[in-house]
Amino acid sequence: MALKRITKELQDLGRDPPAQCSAGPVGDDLFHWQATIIGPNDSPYAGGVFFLTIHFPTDYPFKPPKIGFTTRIYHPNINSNGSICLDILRSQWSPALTISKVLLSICSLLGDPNPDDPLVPEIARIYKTDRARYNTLAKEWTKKYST
Amino acid sequence: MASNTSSEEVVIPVEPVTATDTTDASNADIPDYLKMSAMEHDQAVEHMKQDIEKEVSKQHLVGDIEPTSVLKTVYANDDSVYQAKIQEIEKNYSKIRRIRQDGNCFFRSFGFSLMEQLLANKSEIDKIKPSLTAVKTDLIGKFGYPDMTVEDFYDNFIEVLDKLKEEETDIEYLLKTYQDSGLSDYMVCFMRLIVSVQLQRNAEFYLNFISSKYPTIKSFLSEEVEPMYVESDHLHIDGLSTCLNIRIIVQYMDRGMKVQEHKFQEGSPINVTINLLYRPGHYDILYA
Repeated sequence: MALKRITKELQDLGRDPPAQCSAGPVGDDLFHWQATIIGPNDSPYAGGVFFLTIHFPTDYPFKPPKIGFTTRIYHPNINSNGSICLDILRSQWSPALTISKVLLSICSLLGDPNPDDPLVPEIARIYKTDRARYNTLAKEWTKKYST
Repeated sequence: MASNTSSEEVVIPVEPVTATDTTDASNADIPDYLKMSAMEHDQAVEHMKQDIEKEVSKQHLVGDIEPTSVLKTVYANDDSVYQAKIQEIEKNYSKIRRIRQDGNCFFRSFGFSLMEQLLANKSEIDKIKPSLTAVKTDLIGKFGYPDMTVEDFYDNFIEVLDKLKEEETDIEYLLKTYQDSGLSDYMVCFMRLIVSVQLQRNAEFYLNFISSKYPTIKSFLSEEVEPMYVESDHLHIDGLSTCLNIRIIVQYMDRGMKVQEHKFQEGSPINVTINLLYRPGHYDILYA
């Protein structure tokens, strides 16, 4: 079931690619993909290209895909290992969702962080108390790591 | 309210963990799990959940028909409350089909029992199809779900229903379908989406019955209905039964006074009745 579904998603992405994102298998293994997200224009990540890895579990789509950033990013919901704190990748994963929807959600998360459920409390604190400093640091990291 | 685990009938200690000094040997009376750091505690719970999942995965997704009396061996001989209730249930339902305790048991029980009855009563199959098609249409057109995934689940469900119409299809086919984890879970996925549609169509009504921790129907659906392995409650049963207009009768067996019977869509004209046994955290199929 997993392979059939992943193949379908790949075809769907080719037919109707989501804005600002791309994704596809790394090699022959359809369970291992790489994705890119372009930093949203209205965010401090603008101008950056961020790489992510996607691992599909063998019981996909019943269990969520494992997705992480390989590009460093300064964000309250993404830590230095690239782990992403996003509800639809955990308790709110639904088999009706697709990789395309997930990537779009990650794009939204870049433009609209969720400091109340942080993975990096220090960045969340700065985001909440000193937005200008957060913007500067996020821009600096974007320039340093993703351009 | 259903908890978000697949550990039915198994209790994991979830007492709040306070910051304790793990090096303090004088706390000999404090249970081990309270001496752990928060992270160690999380890891221990995670391991325990994995062990339970491993144990549960040994159960058949859908078991064979057994005499209802088999339940007597599940409870202690001197557990008079349950032993008496099993006897009471046996009077009306002599057989039972046990379903894997993975949080999907209500949906799997419903789906299997529905299709098992349709196999014997093929003329009812086409009566159900219009509601299934409307579910697909509303999910995509009205509620904005991805057509690719919704159609995939819908097509699989319809494919199995159509197969039931064929003369040579027998119960072995249905058992094989429901015991194949991929196919079986595809059925479960679509039934979860049926409940989701029914609750979204009547959001205002159903919101009255939902815990206030969910401000919207959508938030309830994304935590308690659409994800796999999340246990079902009264609302899930009502949603599925109402949307498809299928009669469901549930025997509730718990530590209360008597076995309670709950009926859903009692007046349905469709000649199918899903009989279920509920024990805290779990559903199985009953047979007269």
